Amino acid sequence: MEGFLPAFLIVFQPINILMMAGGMFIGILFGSIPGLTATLAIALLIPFTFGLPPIPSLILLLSIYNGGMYGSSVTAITIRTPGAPASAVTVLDGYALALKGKAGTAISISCIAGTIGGLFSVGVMIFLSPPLSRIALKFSPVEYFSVALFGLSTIFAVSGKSLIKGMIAGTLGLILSTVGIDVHLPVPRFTLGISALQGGLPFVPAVIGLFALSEAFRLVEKGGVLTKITAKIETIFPTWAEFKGTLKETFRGSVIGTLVGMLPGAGATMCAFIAYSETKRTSKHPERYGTGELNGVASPEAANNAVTGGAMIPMMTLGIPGDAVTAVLLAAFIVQGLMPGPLLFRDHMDIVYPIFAGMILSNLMMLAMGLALLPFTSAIAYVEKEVLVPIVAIFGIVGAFAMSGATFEVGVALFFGILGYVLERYDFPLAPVCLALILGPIAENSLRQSMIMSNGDPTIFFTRPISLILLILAGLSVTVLLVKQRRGVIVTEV
Amino acid sequence: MKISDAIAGAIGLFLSVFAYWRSLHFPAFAITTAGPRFFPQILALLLGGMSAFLLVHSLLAKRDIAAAEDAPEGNLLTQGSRSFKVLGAIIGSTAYLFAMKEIGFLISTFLYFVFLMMLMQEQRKILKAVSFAIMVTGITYGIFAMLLKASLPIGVIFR
Repeated sequence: MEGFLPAFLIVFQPINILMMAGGMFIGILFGSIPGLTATLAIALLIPFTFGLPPIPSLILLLSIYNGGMYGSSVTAITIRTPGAPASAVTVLDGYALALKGKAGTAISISCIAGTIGGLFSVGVMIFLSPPLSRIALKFSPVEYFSVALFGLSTIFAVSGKSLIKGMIAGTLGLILSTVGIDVHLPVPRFTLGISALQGGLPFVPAVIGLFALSEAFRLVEKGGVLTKITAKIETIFPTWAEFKGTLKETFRGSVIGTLVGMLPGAGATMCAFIAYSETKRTSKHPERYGTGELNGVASPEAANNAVTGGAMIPMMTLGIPGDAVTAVLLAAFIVQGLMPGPLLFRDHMDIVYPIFAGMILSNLMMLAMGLALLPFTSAIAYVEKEVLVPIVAIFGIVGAFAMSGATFEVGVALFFGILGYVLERYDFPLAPVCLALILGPIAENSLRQSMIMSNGDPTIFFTRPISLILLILAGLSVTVLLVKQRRGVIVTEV
Repeated sequence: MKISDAIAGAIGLFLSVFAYWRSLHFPAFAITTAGPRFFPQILALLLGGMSAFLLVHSLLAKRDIAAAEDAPEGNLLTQGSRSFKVLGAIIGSTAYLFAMKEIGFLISTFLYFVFLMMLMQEQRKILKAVSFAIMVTGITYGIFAMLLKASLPIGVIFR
């Protein structure tokens, strides 16, 4: 912990503060525009980070992640349209408050609760990550395969309206992850005679295509204009009594968001729904929820912001992303020459501590910027679609090109853009494809190494305790989600 | 389930057969049976099984529900026009990819922006499209070429 003081000094350098403010603004902007997400913003900005050192790059992208979570609540409250699914439940009480002329208060509470949730989860992340990474250092390929399988099983299941479609999308992503020269033998696989494919499909252009170009194509298809915010937002800060009244539920949401957010595939949407239902269930006046109760905003918003720290734990300690946005962040680490996982904590504490410090300050920046920008929210959330679509497409294509100066990367981005558009057009989720591209090589490598260790005996996965527990958890999560889907209570995540 | 699901199931089935067939060309062994073909074959079988399930499930679903769910939003004319716009955007993006190398970043980006903006506009506003195109092309060039020092294609005209 003695590394924190120098870490804060690094984060306070002007370039890092600038990146944090810029990232926060972009995150709030993308989060508040319905249809655009923090994942898209991060995917578009990864190419910008090539020329930057690791710390400012990661601070920029992590601030977008934080800002995006808060930004999505703004339109949920003002126009009953959540910027992202994570704020869908905030609509219930947030919009009711806006109708009562308390939109400003609701957004302020969302910002404050989000900050507390974010800070709480970063605290837990700082506390849990080092010991978890030390445990993970002892993992053999057997445990790694089970972790990857657990991650894949839950992610496939919660990432779409239909379980089977989520699983098909994920399996397709896994097959695409096998493209290139085999890791153990010099054999090209699925390269179709294209020599550039021998190195495998580059992840960053794939992500740009999946999330940015496919979104541009989707917006072209939808036509029309983005919804303009017409509600007048005055800067009304909550009274002390209002703020105090939401504290308990803010902490409840923070704990739920952090703990559930740590599970691969849980995601911000699920956390917000669980937090809201728990807050309502334990309330003395559940009948008030849905009619403009401030706790109905505080609890889910604290929870979805708390996911940021929670989801970073498996990503940073095990190298296993829990959702699409952490998968894209993982790519950003790799671009900087850092491989998330236990070795990151052993070899790169000079980067890890500033990341922790940056996440703390980024949450405080969110509070300051969220409240300061509140009167201008109606302006920042309105961008004409006819201007937005070409900008997203050009930044996506040029970003992919700038990676290596070769058209191959742009071709990959275009391929994934078309694939992503077609998949989403027919209700196949994109998040499993993205996660499978990251988890596929981990799963295959560890599976084959395990088979070598056991001389081809697959029972090795059931004879080691941690592996067995993870496999049982994977089985349980799929079973639970199957039952939930049969009852029609699946929560979708983007 | 929708008719489109049946088609998706059939495509998934085709892809799984293709992946399995291609994987037969990879060596089966590498110290153990888990050679280069091991993982792709498992995945191909999984994809095949799930796609077959989707296909059968869609075909067995009641026709009236499927027909109702497949009903497109808006009239056929609007639907067709939107699909053409997407096709136009995809073709335009592919053309941009090749044009960038030939005519350079500045001209191709300007043309691509105007094309996409006109594609999005309900009423043609050429002046607005051109002004935004000049602005965005300049900003993009400034960010990538000057700030990030990325080497963007100059093209044959400026060479």
